[in-house]
Amino acid sequence: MAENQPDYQVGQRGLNIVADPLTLPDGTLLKAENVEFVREGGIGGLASRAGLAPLNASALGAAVLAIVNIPIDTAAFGSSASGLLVALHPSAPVSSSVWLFSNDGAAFSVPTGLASMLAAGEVNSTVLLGQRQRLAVRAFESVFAVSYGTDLATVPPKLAKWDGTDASQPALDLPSTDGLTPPTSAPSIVLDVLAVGALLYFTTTQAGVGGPNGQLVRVFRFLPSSGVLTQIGNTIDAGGAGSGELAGGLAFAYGNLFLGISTSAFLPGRVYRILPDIETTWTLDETLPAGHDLISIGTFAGELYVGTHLTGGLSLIRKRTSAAVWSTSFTGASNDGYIGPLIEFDSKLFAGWWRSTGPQLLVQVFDGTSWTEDENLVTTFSFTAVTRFGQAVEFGGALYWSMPRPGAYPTENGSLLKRDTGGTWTAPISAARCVTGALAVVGP
Amino acid sequence: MFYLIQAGATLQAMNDAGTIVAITLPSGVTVSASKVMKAAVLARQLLVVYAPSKNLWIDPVDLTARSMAILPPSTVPTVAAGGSAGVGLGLTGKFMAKYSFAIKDSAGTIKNESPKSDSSLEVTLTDQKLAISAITVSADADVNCRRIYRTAADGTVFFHDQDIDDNVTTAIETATSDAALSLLPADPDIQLPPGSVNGTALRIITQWKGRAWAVSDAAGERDDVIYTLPNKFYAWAQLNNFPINPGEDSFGVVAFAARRDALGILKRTRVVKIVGSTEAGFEPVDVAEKIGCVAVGSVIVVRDKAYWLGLDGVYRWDDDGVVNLTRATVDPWFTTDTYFNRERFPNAFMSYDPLVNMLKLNLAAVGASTENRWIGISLEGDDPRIFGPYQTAAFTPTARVLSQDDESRFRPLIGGSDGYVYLENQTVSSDIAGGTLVASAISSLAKTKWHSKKNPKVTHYFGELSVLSRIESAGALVITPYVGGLDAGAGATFSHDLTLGYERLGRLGVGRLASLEFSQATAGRRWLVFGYDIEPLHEVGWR
Repeated sequence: MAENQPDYQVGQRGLNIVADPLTLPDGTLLKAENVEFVREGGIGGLASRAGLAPLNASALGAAVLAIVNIPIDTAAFGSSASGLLVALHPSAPVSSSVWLFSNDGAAFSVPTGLASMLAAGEVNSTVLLGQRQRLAVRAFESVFAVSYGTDLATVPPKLAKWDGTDASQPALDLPSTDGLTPPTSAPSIVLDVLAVGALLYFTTTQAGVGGPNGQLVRVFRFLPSSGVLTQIGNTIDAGGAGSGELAGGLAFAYGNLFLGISTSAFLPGRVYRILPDIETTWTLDETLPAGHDLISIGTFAGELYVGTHLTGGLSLIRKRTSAAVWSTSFTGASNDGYIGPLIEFDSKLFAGWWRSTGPQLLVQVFDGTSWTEDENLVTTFSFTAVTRFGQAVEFGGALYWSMPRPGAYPTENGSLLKRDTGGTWTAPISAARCVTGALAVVGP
Repeated sequence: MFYLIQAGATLQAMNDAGTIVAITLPSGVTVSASKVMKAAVLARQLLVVYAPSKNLWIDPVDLTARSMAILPPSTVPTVAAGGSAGVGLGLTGKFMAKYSFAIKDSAGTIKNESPKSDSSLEVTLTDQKLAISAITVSADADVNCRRIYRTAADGTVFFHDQDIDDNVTTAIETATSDAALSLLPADPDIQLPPGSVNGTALRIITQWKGRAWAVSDAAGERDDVIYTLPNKFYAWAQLNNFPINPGEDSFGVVAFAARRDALGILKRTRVVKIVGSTEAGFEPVDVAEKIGCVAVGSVIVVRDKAYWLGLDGVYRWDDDGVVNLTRATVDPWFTTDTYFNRERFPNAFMSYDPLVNMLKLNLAAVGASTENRWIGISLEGDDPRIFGPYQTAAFTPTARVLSQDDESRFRPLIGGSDGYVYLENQTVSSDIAGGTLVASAISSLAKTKWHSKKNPKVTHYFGELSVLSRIESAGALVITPYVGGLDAGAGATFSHDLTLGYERLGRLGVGRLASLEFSQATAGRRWLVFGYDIEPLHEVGWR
């Protein structure tokens, strides 16, 4: 009688080169080189081992003979301040920005040194593009890295660092695709920065063949300790006037670097992926449904999520699984809405949801099973429709949201909101100056 | 939080961001690149021994490195009758004095103290001050205090009298009454531990029960376990000494294994534990004989269980005793010369990886002079499961540690001969070389047991192979069937498309036994096989 020979716990018993090979139980291996038994989603399986990556960017100068973990604080690595940094505009239109820094998320003051790198014209409200109310600012370990640039201006984006206390130090001008610095084919802006281990990834957008709506998108990796700048993959260009490429965000998931791209109106946004240093070309992973602009990108429970905007339609939150299956996780119930920041906090996924009608600023939360409303910001903070969602970061065990005011509404004020693990929303900064949307948690 | 790293002949510190700070060695101290440092933390101070030419004390606050020991005064003080303290306010009786060199912090707390000088001669006073002179200054530039000790009237026990808070003054007078002396006698006589002067060394050191425990590297002292007073890394009391079966071999005490309630003393062929909590209560107790530890770097303690490499396998010591974890499954790895270079077993090093709940032990491949392979011992379940050997093409491993980052998250680290520290368990599906960031393939290979439906004498028909795997963005898994007897050769390979998740691949063939080999050697690719099935599988006949 025909039978079968299943083994769905392959490798569970590990290696055995001692026992009788004819009587070994299922799950036993005769060879197990560079493999390990892992459990993923409650299912066990045999896998190739995970990778190894360097922690230090500069070599120690000789073989590492011993490493000892010292669980004691030291001041030997500098006087880096730990805190939350917020970018503000004192008025609009403006020619420069100011920053506020806080060690506790409650009391904010203007930090020393940081303003010097914000030269006139390099950061201004014109960077607030439509629904993407943000300026790329991201903390990087004990050194703060900020990238900024102009939209519709001629100054290239720059990368600078600030150690939390001292004067900022300009690092480099980002190169243009025409090889000239500053580029002759501006505008150039940076729209997202992602810190991963000892590396800093960021996206740039630059005019391509299509003019202001035909953008070239590039992703760079920067090693702050060595100053080495490397472009990741190819430059993405739709290759036609009006096709419009605008980097929408970066996220790491499933071992891949994902890049969300917005397009000009009526062309769907796209999600690309790449294995940095291994692949040389970005692979198109997903094209959003027709007409959907890509606004935000984030991860939750190891899965990738993107938020969309659809002119005249319903915004969506789309989810990708490790099996590359895309599905809609959340559908907005109001036309012309968009999904702002997507951020994991307190084991939940938080999403900003701007709506054209009804309560126009809501925060939705996903617990892995269902979406519910976490807060109605119109009711709680009396926001009006001109307020937008900026960035969201976790700091000091709480979630902080910037709520900027677009430059077209100079009389409105922005706010910085805080959401604690108990579900309470407060506004540490409100109604004073415009919050641009840039937030960063400065290490260590 | 930071990592202390020995890189060749240097000591350096690294933080979570990979930022490096060099540690400046005290004048005259060097680090040997042919020795591996041992370190311990006691009372927030970092002690480093063996590789430095002198024991080092490093203050974590600013990473200032100093000699762990302050050399004691080489001359005795002189005592004499001093001036009048006022009628009835002077000292009366016979008195003796000693002094020591010390380092105080800005708050006045003693951070280090030398052994005391020998005692002065005796002086008899009658309602007079005690004049103490010939108090020498220390050549140690960090010394900012001399501590004065004297006996009570007509006594022989020394008590702390006062401090001279400089390294200049050479004479004082004291009229401190006996009643105003320190309540407790001065610490018992302490001595300089090995490693305080060039030419000697502490070979191992650890912290247990709030004390530093160590063993000398000197040939005649390797069986003697010495330890400090509580929370005083500099106070190695002369009486705090346990000889552990002295003279039974040349290796002496190889390593410590500090468990919650017992300090394991591991020799090559003996395991002893120290139990107790005080000098009076500390007691050595035999745990095992003919079992021991061969590699100091292999000893780790996980959840109050100690693990180490012995001469014939990996051992675990817990409340149930000492057992060999590898004998039943991979014994030939440790008892033959087929798999690893056993001559280099003393250089092995091990750490624990909590993400996969696995011990990872680095060994040298056959013919290799570096510990370029590692094995994994999973602690899941009652019986340890062994995997490996592992290797990487990106660098040569030279050290391991399980560390924690600033957020107290575990970070298993591997040190490389290239001067880089590597993070394990990365999401990248390659090994990334430091500096160049070149990605190397993780060359994986696993072979399953022989399938025969428990009837290996009968020839079977092994039908279609199907594989269930994790869906990847790209990549393929090579599956090589072996069908026949135990000596069956490799059959035509299948390529499993890892983007599918499930795939029917084809028939395996006819033979008494069948085994599958999974392999992949492509940078940026990974795989996870949940299971496979061979169907149909039926008997062809007994031939």
